Amino acid sequence: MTANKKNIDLSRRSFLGASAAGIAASVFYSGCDRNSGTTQPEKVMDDSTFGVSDAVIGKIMSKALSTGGDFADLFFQKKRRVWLGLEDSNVNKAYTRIDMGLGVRVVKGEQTGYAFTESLDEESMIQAAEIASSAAVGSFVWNPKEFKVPTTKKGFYPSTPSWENVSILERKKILDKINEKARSSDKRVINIKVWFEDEDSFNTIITSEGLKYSDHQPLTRTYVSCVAQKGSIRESNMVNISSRSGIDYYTDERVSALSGEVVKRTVKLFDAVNGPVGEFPVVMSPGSSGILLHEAIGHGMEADFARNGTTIYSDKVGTRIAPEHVTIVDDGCLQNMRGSINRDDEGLSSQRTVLVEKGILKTFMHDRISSSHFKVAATGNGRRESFRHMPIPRMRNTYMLAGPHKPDEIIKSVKNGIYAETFTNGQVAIGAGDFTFYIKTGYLIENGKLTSPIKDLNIIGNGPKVLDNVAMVGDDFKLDDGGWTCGKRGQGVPVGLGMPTCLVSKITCGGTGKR
Amino acid sequence: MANKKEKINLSRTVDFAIEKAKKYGADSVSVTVSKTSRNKVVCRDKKWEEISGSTSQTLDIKIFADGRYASHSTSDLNEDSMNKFIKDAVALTGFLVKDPHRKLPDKSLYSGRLKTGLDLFDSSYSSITLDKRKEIALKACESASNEVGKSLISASGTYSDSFSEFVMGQSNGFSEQEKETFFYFYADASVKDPKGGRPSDYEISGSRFSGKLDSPEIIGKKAAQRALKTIGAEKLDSGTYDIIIENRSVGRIMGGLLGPLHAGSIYNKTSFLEDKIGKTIASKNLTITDDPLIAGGFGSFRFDSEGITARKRNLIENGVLKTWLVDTYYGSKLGIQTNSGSTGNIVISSGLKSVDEILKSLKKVIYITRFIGGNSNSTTGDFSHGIAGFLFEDGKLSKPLIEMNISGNHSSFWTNLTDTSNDVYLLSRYRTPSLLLKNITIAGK
Repeated sequence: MTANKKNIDLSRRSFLGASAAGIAASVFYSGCDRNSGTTQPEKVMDDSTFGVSDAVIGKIMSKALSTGGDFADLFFQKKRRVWLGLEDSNVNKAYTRIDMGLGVRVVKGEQTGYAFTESLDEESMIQAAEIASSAAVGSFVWNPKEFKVPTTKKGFYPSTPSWENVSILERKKILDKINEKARSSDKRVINIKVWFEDEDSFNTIITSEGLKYSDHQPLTRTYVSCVAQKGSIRESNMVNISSRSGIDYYTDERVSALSGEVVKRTVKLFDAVNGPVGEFPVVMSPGSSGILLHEAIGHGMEADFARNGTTIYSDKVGTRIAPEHVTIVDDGCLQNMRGSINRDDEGLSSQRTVLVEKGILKTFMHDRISSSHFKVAATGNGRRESFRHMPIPRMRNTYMLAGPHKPDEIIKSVKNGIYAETFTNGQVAIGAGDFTFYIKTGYLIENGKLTSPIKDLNIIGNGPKVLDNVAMVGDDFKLDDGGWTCGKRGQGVPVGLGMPTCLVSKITCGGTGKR
Repeated sequence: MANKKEKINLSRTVDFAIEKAKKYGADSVSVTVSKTSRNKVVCRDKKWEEISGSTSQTLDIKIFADGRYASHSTSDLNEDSMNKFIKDAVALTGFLVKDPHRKLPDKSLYSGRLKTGLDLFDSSYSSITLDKRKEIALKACESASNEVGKSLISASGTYSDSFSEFVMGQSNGFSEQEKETFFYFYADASVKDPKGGRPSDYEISGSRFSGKLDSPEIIGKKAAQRALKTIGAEKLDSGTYDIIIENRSVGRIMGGLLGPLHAGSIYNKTSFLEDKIGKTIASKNLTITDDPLIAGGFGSFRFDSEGITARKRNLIENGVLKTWLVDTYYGSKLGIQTNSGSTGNIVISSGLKSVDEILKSLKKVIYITRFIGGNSNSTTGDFSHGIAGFLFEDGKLSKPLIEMNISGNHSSFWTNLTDTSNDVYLLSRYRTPSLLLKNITIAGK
């Protein structure tokens, strides 16, 4: 009964090469005002509702609202995914999947009725609408209206060609390159596996208020796992990278960096000692340390929990929850980031939402139901895994802004502690406030210096206490390009993270070494 | 609430897919077509939060063509769509590198399959009404609310049921079908902690049969009592403690021990159990059995996803590791006998005393009721997980605990097992008693 569980490894380095800081910074400070600049109709696919006519859509909508619902939406989706696997230096397995269907939602007050169908014939769709309508009790006649396509400037993953036009051989070359490069970079490598994923999701949302919006969401992710042997000792590790991009994402430079990184992180483990046991200061590395925000505060600020009063942050809006140098943002508008969305899955514009500004909690992350409950503006956080799921408040890309401190100065300030470098997963209990993240690799800090590498230890803390204990924040903000998937109420959605170096002055470390 | 229409004939779709795949060039094919209906009702604070119900359908196809292999699935079971999908699927397979280890199972592994069912299907499923679902969710919610009383923040009751059926066919003549139902509901209560927290806990009831669910009033009450007990939780000093892992949480940590038994992990050199068959890896008190044939079990099946006949087998017997879990592919790659890579119900041998009796016999013990986060390294066996629970001293509940962590290595951790209780948790495919382990590393203050 916890809010979040992530199972995916991710990378410390951004793999953006020399231009990393520039790209991150320019995107970062450009804001996300969708109303400025020239506007044009957002693209509606030629067949955005898969052959379902406006007349039939009107009938489905009428049925959905026939019992007196306040609002209804239809979510048409076709998702095409391909996975390719490399083992024993051969690309010898593949998996493809097609999902297509319609989800119908009816909202009455704070009650939701939901049903989906994978058959897009009129009878099945009307039946789904009837089931969804059972959330409301009453009667209502909905007058069909013209569905309007919103106008806005081009989105956050513009003109990415569909993966459908990319041949298997082109993908295969990337896996082969990753494998060759990784195997040749260190003699101790005894096994490499690569798993390459790509998807095109074509979504069309139609609301009872008359909005009709279509989007093509591309996504790709590549995992590499490595096993190395030194004498009788074996160690393994893995790295993955992800983006809302097409095949051009896999430049030689990026592929090469990925291979180098996974080997480097694996062989480093030969020298690693077990982490300490007990409370210690922890320095979080820039980039993927954003997992701390995602778990310690992110889930607790999703407004469905606040609406029910079940999050520890329920009554904290407008109050100080962190020191002055802490500003936390949830941002759906970063170019090609895994957690970016042009609009959310309720059809509302994506945003850069400041959650915590200079230590003060500013807002929760809202979906339509919660923004109406709290009578505040929507934040574009209503997301769903697929047409089979109802939208709920979810994070997009969550990060902390750069602070005043130098990374060296932060490490130097610690006498006896640890440096947390790469992570695999985290979880939170949003009411009790305890949260964890699992450190795959890091270092001991002794007398202000990084010393022995450490591996495999879980960290556990209390969200509000840890935020309060963010003693220093570095000036080296970095976005992470790892393939994080966030799980909540049985739904997985892609998210992104970012973080400058920061110091948490005290948190419980669950290593196996001596205190 | 589920779709009433019978549009998809599962057997006919399987035959269609096999025939098309062969027509487009597959040498052998394995096809599963499934249909699942799910319904859910959530009541929060005595109001309806969610009412949902749908039916989904999937075609899964494994294609073996010219020494190459790929698997594919689609939810679009329109005949024209399937025809194109299968044509594309076979064509895609042609781009892969040949792999001589990919083949359908040896047919001898299909023998001895049970013909009768395992009590996995409740034929009354279609008569369950929305009103009945709402009644259970509402009662569980009300009972939890009332039991919490003035410390209540929020309580919910969630009811869900599912009905799935599938037909599996292979080009070597294998043909089978199965129907399963599953019913569960749980109550969840969030309570005020004067220290500022809003802790919650849940209690659940589940069965393959609608009529075997517990009373929602009792489940709601238990959820409330569990949540109330966690008020005022704190952490202890770091150190070495004796621990009891509550039966319902054992599966979470056990996964780190059993995952590395898969032949794929052995082949890829990511298993710390690679050279441990026949060796002692746990206390003699520990026997772990994989039993897919338990009537009504949550992890029960008559045949696995390859069609291989399910059999009961000991994984660990009195502390000695007995077997790996070997599917056809990695069995061929490792040159060892295939024995099914799937596990059904994981049964841990139970002891003689109740968990209360064990708690009372100890001077000081941490009773772990919840794991949070953490991970396990399959290559080395190292693990580390967050925990919450209670401290018991001199047999009495001393205080609730939170924000602590357990760590160790699976190759030595299980040798510290000294007793198992007689109360086995049945609402999971992990059918386990509570476990007592001594001298375990716990991090706190």
